[in-house]
Amino acid sequence: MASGEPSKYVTLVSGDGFEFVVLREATKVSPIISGMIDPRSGFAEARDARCVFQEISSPVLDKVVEYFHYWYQYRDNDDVPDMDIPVEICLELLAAADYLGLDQATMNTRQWS
Amino acid sequence: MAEEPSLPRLPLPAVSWNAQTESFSNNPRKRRATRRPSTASGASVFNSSDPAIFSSDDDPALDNYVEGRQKRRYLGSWYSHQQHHQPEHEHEPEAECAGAPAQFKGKRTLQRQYDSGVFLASDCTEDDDTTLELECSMPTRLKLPQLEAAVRTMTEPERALQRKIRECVDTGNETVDFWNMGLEELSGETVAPLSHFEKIPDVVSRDVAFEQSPPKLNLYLAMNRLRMLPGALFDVTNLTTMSLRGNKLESLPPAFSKLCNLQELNLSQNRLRHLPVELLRLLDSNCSLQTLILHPNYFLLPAHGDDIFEILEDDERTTPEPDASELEYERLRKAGTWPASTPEAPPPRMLTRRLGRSPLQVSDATGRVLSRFKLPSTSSHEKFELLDVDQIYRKQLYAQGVDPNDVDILSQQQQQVEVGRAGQSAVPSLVEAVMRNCYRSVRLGEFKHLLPEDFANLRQVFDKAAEEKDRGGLPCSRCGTLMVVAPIRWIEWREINTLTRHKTREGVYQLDPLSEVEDELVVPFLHSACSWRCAPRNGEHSGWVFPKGCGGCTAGYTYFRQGYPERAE
Repeated sequence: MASGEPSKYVTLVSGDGFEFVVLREATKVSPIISGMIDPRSGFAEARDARCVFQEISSPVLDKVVEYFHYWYQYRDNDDVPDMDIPVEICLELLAAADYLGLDQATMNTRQWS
Repeated sequence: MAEEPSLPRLPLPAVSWNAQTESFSNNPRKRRATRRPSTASGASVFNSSDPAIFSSDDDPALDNYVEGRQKRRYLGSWYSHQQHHQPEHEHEPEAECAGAPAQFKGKRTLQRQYDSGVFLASDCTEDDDTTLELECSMPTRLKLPQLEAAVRTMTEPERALQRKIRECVDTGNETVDFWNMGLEELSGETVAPLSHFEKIPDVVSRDVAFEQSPPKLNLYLAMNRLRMLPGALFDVTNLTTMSLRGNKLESLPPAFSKLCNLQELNLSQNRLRHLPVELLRLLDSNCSLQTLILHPNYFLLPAHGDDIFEILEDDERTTPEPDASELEYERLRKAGTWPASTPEAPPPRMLTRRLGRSPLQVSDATGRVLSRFKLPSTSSHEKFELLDVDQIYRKQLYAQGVDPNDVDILSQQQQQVEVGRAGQSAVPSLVEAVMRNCYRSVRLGEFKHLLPEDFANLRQVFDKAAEEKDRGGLPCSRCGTLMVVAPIRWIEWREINTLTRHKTREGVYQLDPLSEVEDELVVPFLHSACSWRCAPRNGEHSGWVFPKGCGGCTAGYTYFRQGYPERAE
């Protein structure tokens, strides 16, 4: 893994130690994560394809990961169902989304794929 | 003796009774005698109640009472004496807080008494209650954030309107006339009773008794000072006439399209910069709008408006022959279906067509504008603001045979949109997705207070969400998805014409602009898109748009125009 093709998956670790393995392609919706795991960056995260988010708890990171898949699944669809988010984690998720730069209508997904 | 309950040992010094001053004294009699009566300290210990005293008889050890022996009397409760005089005695927690009255000099504070679960003042008696100051270390902030929101007080004109509406609902009066009453604010709860309006059935003038017909409400709010319209107003779907003339409205909510039974709408003399594009739905065949008065208002005008006016003038050449229908006519005549004998669909009452649009305003999910182009704020008070139109749509239906792709004016932005659209995602950003969930929650107003101080930008979004909810929702202009913040917005200029039946020629209609003034020929409509997928498309045809459900040229109508007023050079 140290050389050659980077892994197809990325591991995201929550503050309380839960690990989520996500498709690398799906995390590209977040400019922060894609910057961290960009092989050209030379960050430790990019080397190990593993990002630790001390500030994000596992239920919230779980929802973030769910969003990554939701985005990945529906990015080319015209009809996008609403994502169901329980009210009690809304604020934490909002802060996490703000932190991960998930606040813009996604443009130019084609250039990533 | 051993199993007898043992009361605490009594302290040695006693209280002495001074007969001269009729008061107890802490001082022993011997020392007391040397003092002047006025300095008796016992009098200042308590202010209102009689001093608490107890005698040495309480000590069960004194069962061998000797006659003639003087009882000892003590001032205050026994435990304070015990504590005071036996500091070496075991230190119990409550004794700690009780302290000795003589030593108690500090201020009285609230302390938690752990056995009671209730915050109480210290148990010990006070030197002086008048110096009592409750120092509360707890924050005074209320625990329930919804209680902090100030209760909205209704202004006097609104109260009057509320009474009027209630009276109209009670008496079955369909006309609410509130003309020039200084109304500044209008809340949803004031107008909500109108949606429950039930007409009193007319028994006398009809053969059928108690026939229920939907009410035809008329709401006249002209010449007031309204700035906002509540979302509840648009749930009063039985409104037939509404006059908002001469108010201070700066924008109209998209929920306006719900007023399908509206026949007459007057929006003139407001501060409107643009109209929601949803207003055009009132022209559909299932709605009944007949009269629409829009001017004068502070409508935004395109900077390169000349091109638009060129389009307008070009049309003069096409009158009065059948114009828009020509292409369609040829096709249908060959197919043998022209002319349709009696069109089934009703003719439209008004026709609009797209003339051009402004550049796009792109913003992130918190409402921060990212694009260079920014829509002018609704609160700016200049009369006209000129915007750059980056693309003027060429009329395509009128100029026969023009391929929409041949349109030469294609801005860079438009190209970007076109290139991007292939990979554009309709998925909302996560911030927007969360906000839409919060928006649906009934506790939308409380989230803001629960947010930490650092997230000032997110706080604004909650304010905006609450505002949009109050206005009746912000749908995407194309797909109708309810949004909190529209990532893409732009203004589209349209021309609106009314149709009138030709006096002599059957099936021929005349188009007339809403206003004869040149500047008022184009009307700006605000579009809001939920994603790049719903952004404006290139080559959208600029011909007359037939409202949904209305018969178009194919149904056998012919339109002609009378030409436009001369433009001042």
